[in-house]
Amino acid sequence: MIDLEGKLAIPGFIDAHAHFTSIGQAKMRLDLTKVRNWDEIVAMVKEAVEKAQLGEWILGRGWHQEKWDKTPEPNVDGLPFHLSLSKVSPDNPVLLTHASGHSSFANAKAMDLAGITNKTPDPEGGEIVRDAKGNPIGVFRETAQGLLRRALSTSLEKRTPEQRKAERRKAVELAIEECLSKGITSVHDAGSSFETIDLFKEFAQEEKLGLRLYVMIRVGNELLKQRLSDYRIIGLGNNHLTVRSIKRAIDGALGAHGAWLLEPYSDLRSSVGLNTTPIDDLRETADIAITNEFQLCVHAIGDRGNRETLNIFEEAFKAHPEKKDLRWRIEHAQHLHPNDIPRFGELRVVASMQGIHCTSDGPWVIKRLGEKRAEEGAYVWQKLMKSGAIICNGTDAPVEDVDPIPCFYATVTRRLKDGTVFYPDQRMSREEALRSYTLNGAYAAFQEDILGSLTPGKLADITILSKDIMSVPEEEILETEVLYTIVGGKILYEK
Amino acid sequence: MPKKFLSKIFPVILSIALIGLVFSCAPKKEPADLVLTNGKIVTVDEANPEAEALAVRGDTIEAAKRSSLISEKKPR
Repeated sequence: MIDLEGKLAIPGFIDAHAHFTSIGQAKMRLDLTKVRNWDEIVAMVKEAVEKAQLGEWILGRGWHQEKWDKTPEPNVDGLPFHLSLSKVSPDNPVLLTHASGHSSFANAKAMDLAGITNKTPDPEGGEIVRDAKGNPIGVFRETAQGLLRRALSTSLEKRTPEQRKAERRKAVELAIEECLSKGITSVHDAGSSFETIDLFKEFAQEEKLGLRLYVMIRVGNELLKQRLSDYRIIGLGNNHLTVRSIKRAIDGALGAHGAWLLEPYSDLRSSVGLNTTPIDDLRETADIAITNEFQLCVHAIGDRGNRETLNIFEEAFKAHPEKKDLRWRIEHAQHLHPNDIPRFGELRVVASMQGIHCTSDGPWVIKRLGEKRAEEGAYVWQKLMKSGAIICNGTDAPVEDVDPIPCFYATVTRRLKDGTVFYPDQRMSREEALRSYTLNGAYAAFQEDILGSLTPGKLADITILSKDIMSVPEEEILETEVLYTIVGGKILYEK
Repeated sequence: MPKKFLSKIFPVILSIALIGLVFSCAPKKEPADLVLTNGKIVTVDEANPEAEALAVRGDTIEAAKRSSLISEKKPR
């Protein structure tokens, strides 16, 4: 018996687009973005060493000496010496990348493996930072980082297949733990190899997945043709693992001017972005998918990318009128030409979108697209829903944090960090947002008969929250904590 | 008893309970394995959008009701 004490219970969150193993891999690197000083970094490394295998590399990213509340002593240009780090990690090489990516910090063991001594010259375009006596302090700038990276690659190549597998298992375990702690009961994994799917199968068969995974296969057409039929998996391990979809990408991302547009970028008139997979390849994938009764999920961000994808889908549907209820998906569907918006509803194509992308990308969407295009077609949730489209929600983790609460907040507010609201008429109501994160996710995975709502007869996937996100003032949504995550009636996370 | 049958008869049982008839009119049943009670339950189910108590049997939702009269299996 759980006494909710007036708290809110909802269907478990379904993150319909996340990179599952990458969530775990990100957890295997130390996140140094929030540390207050060098001493904290040393303490974090010390803790990591205690959990690591002997000789395993300790990796981290995101430190920035300008953000620290005190300058380390001794220092060179405000940068610490490796001695304190080498002391807590004598046998494990440590490599900590700066927030900018333009320098790295190493301990004695890492420098040792890289063959670095006080006689090693600075490589061209780089600098080994040294003390007054000429000894490396542990900081490597620009190309000098390559000396350490090569040592890292050499070590990684030496891993046995068993070690590699143990690391991949560890990543999956961490991803499971992370998602459950944030109230997520199902994840749609946005693209994995057959090898990774084999690993998920092991977890499912051992009943160790905990949450439910809906996996998109991401391999080339040749491999698909050879092995696709072996990988149709429905509800393995008491409905914990399902594989019946294929992932592809037609373009890149808007931030890097990679999204494929119909008209040039407003801030880069020479470019319309990139088509990353040739149309003919995608047509072939569509044919493989439809003849094998697999769902096709195509990453499309720009309006051209979306139009071409809809065309490919429509062509495949027309060629196979006997195939019904296909629910093919466009992942992101971020920027659409007004003429293409109603096509989602007409073709029954699911728009698999990420509420949080709207507010994190919002600040530069208008720069890239200009006001007119941004208003007409960027994250047009209401326009899509009014034309009959089903929208599911997610985070694209680890691109964004997998936490559904900030994403739910972004979906209902579209409020950017500076307080402005990105085209408020396209916000979802709280009911629409919750549906996008639960029942619509289930629909996008052909699982609405067993998941997505708290309906008698469905699986008992339930998330209990500290605040009533359906009625509290907007700003309080962000303070919401997950109290329980229940999957199939079992409490798998409890705060 | 097959689950499909359960899911079919449950709305009937629930509506009986909801219109105020005594719950024990329904066929005698084992108590649930997990019960959530005394909260706000948003179901995302149009037929029954909100509930106050929820009963789970095995891995499946057995009932979502407006009152907190669902009983849980006692530990033995």
